[in-house]
Amino acid sequence: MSRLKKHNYNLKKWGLTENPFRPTSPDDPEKLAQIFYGRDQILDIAIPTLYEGRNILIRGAWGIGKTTLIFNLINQLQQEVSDINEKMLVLYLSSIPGDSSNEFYRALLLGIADSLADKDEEARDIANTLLGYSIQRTKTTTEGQVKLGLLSFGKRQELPSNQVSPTDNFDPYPLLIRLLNTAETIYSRVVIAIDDFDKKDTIVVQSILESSLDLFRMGRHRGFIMTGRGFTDLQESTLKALGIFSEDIPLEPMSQDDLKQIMINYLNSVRDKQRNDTYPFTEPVTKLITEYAQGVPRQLNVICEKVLRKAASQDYEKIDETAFNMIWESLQKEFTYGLSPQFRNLLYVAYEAGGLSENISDATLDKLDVLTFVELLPQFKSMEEQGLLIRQEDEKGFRFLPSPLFQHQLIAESEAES
Amino acid sequence: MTQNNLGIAYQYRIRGERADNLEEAIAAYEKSLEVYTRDAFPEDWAATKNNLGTAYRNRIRGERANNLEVAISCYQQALNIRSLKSFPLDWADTQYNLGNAYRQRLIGDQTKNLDQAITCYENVLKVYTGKTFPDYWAQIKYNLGNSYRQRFQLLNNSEDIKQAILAYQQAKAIFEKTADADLIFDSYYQLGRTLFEGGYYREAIQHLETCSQTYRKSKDVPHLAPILFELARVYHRISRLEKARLNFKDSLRLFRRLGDEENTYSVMVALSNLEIQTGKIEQAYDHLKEAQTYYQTHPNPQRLYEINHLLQYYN
Repeated sequence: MSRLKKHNYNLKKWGLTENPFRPTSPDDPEKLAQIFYGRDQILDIAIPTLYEGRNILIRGAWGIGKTTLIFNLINQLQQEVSDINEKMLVLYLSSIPGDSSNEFYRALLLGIADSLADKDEEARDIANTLLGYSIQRTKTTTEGQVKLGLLSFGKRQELPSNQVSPTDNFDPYPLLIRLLNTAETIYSRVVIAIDDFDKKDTIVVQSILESSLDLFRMGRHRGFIMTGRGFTDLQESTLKALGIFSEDIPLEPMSQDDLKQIMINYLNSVRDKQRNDTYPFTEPVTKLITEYAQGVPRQLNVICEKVLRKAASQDYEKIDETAFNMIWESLQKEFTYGLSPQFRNLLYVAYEAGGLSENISDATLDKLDVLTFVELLPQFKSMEEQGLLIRQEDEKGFRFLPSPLFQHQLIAESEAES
Repeated sequence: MTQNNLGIAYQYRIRGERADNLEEAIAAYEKSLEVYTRDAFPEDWAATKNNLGTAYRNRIRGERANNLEVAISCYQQALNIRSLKSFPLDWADTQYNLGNAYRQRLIGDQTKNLDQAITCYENVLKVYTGKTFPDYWAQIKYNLGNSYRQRFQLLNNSEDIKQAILAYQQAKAIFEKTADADLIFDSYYQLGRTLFEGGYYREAIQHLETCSQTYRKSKDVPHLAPILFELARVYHRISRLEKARLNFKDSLRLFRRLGDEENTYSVMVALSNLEIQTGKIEQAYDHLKEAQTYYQTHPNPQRLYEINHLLQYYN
């Protein structure tokens, strides 16, 4: 039997049409609604807040489910506003380029202009002539009188086609406010979700927010929802004091039971018949996986995706502890040997030190060949985004732990051999 | 001539007690002046007066305020002969010395002294241009930066801080081309502090972050530690508390590594202030107690008062 045939055969044997686990959340609303779990109380607050035209800040660590929550939130909002027969424009914007307020306004302007292009002449003109950015991905759905647009941006270098085109130097703010007012006139209510904003440096986010007070406060029925990660206690209170966000929602790590339910939901999304368990994963294996995920849904997905794929390529009846241990060991090997020497060393040191925190010892810093903790942070951030490190926070500060896929013994053994 | 040279030799003598050497230098110059009278040898007289001024400016014995007054008077007398027109380089040298003396002056209105110092330094720059004497020019720019900054601290005039920043930036650009690590550090550090004091927080952060990268790259702990301390203070001021905390902790570990106790405990007190502010009460308490123990044996009444003031909230 060919590899692919065996893979598909085994998935089918387990009642699955495909491997459902993915590190990023699906943008298909139906699929999303199927897998979404555990943040209902947040939706209870967030939907009326946005409907009232107030702003929301969603905070949480990498992979904790901010994007999934926003996707689900705007889909539900579209559905519920449509159900009461009202009008609304909902925009989801991601990958906004640049580090200045001006660039932020330009991207916003382009997004709104593009969404209004079918209804307003000025918007159409702006969408056609605004330089510097391009909309890379767009998906629009309309439910009743509610239009939902998902857009992501790219940057492009170009020259104005004619002298009257807006150039890089113009101030986009007045135009943006005018267009937002037009959007409010046409749609009555406007909700703009800005994702990935937290990937920018904190000071960039802070300065954009502080210079955009009018933008966030003006408009009777205009709500923004943004994601944030690096805001510290006082910055949060500063932002609250500025009156930008009427709800500040922290996303906590999920319990093992919640993660299990997410596993079930993912599996059900590709099952012929719905079940209330994690088959082909057995209960003890589910416990192990949800423990290894350390409360982070993305980590859960990464593990499940790899384990299921590996299991399907072999002839296991189900993924019990014996199967899991074999798979896990080989995954750990692949993961650990696949790391660059630099990352491997860092994870090894992190493991040995019981995690890397701001209270790191001089000896550990020496092992990493650095003088200070701060200079490790860019590397930690990138490793966190790749799922190599997991960030945990408590009252003492934060601590980076190696992914459970990292097998330190392999490094110790290979060092002993050499 | 010999007495004047002897004075110079004593003034810069490496061996022996510096205080004694300077006394010897002053005596030699005074003797020299008995021969080099103003009327008979005006140039030599002016040169000796200039040297005598410097010996008094550096003098260790006697009342410092009086010594500086004598130094200023010597330089002013020298300038009666050393004019811009006839002896431009000598004129500039004495202007520079006079500027330094005014900046250090302890008597009189401090603002006026700084005004005088700034005028003197600006005069020097009429002769020593950046093109012809870059190193010297940069040193004067650095001193100008110090003077403008001191005047800003007194009068809070924003134009002064702008001038100080500009002067430090100009000095830094030249210092960076030299191999003098301490000069480079001084210009980095003072520029950072001045941007901070002037409220140019973003620029201060940008500058200090760049400096810290340079020192990290060269693993230069003695220069990195104070830069990180400054950086932490700026972050603290603008409420970027996480960055502030992490940089305080890094500078603390580096000062500890250097065995620099005074700075270690300065950072510790600053860090505990931040910890109290962010509700990390236990960590703050531990840091305050440790600092309190240190300052009980290393007197710094103001610091100890600050620590005790913060600790009283724990009772």
